[in-house]
Amino acid sequence: MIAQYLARRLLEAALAVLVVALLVFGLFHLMPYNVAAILAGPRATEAQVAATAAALGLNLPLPLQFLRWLGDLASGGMALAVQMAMPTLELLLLASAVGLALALGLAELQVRAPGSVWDRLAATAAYVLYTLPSFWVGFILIYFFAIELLWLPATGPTLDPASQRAWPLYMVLPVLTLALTTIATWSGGVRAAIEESLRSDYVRTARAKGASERRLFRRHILRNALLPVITTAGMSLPGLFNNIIAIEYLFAMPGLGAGLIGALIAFDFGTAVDLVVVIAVVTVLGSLVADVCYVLADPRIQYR
Amino acid sequence: MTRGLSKAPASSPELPPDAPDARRGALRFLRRLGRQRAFWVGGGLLAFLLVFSFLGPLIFAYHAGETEIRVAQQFLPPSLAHPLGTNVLGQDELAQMMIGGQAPILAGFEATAIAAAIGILLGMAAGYGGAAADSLLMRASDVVLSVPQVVPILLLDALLQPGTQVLVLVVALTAWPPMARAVRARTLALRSLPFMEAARAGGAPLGRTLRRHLLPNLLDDILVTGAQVFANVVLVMAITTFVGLGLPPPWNWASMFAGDMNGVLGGQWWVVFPPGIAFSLLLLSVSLLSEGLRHALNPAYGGQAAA
Repeated sequence: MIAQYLARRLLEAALAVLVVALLVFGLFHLMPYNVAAILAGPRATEAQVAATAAALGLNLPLPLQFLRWLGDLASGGMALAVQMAMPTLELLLLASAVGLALALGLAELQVRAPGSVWDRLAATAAYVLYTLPSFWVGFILIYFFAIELLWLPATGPTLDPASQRAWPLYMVLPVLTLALTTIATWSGGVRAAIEESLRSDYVRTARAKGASERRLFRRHILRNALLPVITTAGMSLPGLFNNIIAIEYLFAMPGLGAGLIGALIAFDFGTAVDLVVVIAVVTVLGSLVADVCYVLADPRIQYR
Repeated sequence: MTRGLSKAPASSPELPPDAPDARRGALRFLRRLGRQRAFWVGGGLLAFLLVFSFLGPLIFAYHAGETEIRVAQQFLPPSLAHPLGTNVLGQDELAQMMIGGQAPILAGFEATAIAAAIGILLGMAAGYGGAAADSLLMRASDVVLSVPQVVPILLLDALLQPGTQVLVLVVALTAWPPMARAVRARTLALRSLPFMEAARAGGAPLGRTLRRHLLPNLLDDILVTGAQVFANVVLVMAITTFVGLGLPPPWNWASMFAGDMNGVLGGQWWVVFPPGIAFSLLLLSVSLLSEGLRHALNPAYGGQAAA
């Protein structure tokens, strides 16, 4: 049953990625640029431009070019793109973990004493974070922690070996920036889920049996409230990528954002398409994993 | 949004006995609106930002719009002559902030309007048009949602260098799915209610059924989602502008960040804080405004606790 569900979802995911790849591929070939002339260089002769075009297969019909590109992707292009995307994925995973922990912490504050100063403070903080551009939050963090206090480096881990050796230190500010953005998108959902769980019978039962508030929150409320949060987390991945691109730029980090902007500026359409496909794979897989986790975590859900 | 409601009685000559009632309804709506603190605070904030950005440069003409570089006046701290100090090029920061608000505000509202129009149309089509249309439109919205919005904007920006109008259109084309989903969900919930059945049974044409009976009942969802779409398009345009693409010159709040990054490294706080605070105030004002309107439109929707 679950295998069938998984197979169908994987097929759907693959189809979605294929559609994205086709769109991006088509978009590039609609562009009014002579890619071969650009790549061959400004002083290339016509024969050299023609040779470049032939080597890249730019003279082939479009469907054939697409198949050729798929073949390239399978035979190493994908591995290269994933390698370029690794720093981004590290940032994404770390920030999601930190953001989720912070959002749950905030929600616990709010739910333990509804209407208290803490509750209103947490709600206001989440709301203000939601209205701030992510890179500006990073700006402020750099200003205080790197410039005024001199506690942390002002960039993320760059290609400089020194920053790679002190990797955790360099990751603090980028991860914190993205995590704060994540809180803004998640905290509302987390709080709503917890409040719904608070109204349920099993929480009343647990409270009636004398469970401490702490145990009540950790054992009964949190576990059930996590379910909708999983879905939100999976769906918010594309939005996170918007912010990741800005944050990578701000902290001068290598990764998908830098790779994509660099490839576009250099008219390296091949690399750009590969990177977009990696992004699509990550977001589609993210929502797939979220759905599967949901199904596994809640036995009441029927696979459809 | 509100105009449609208050205009409704005037444009319904076939129902004369209802007209006074409807007009009283509009009056009641305005009175409820007047009691919404969120509406006044949000509206006041937005009015301030509009005056600041569009009238401000006319009043406070000090170096406004001037692009001359005065390195000797670089990073002057706030003073009477320069209330917010000067930036990396020696330009007055307050004048920059005023002009810098025009592009984000205009482009934000334009993109929101286009995205909302697309989302409302597709959402109603999906919710009202039967299973096949629903499934097709929701798959389309899934595809759009699964690609980070910044990516297609960066692609088009880098390759075609479009003007502001094309950029606004592209941003809107990436931003409609939340609106479509909200409208679809409400349409599905409403379509089989008695008043909709009555409209259909009474032989009202489809367009009229949707416009006069369905749309007014979607307004509060449209307002809430509209404010979210506004926040989304403004921030997405800010991100693309920040990385060096996006909104073309003249400068705006987002491109000021990129130019003043050196100010951060030098500890010049007066170039660091204003643009971000301005963005926050803009999104806050629109969100409060929509909150107030929604509560006045539909008092049953969550009550007045949040106002």
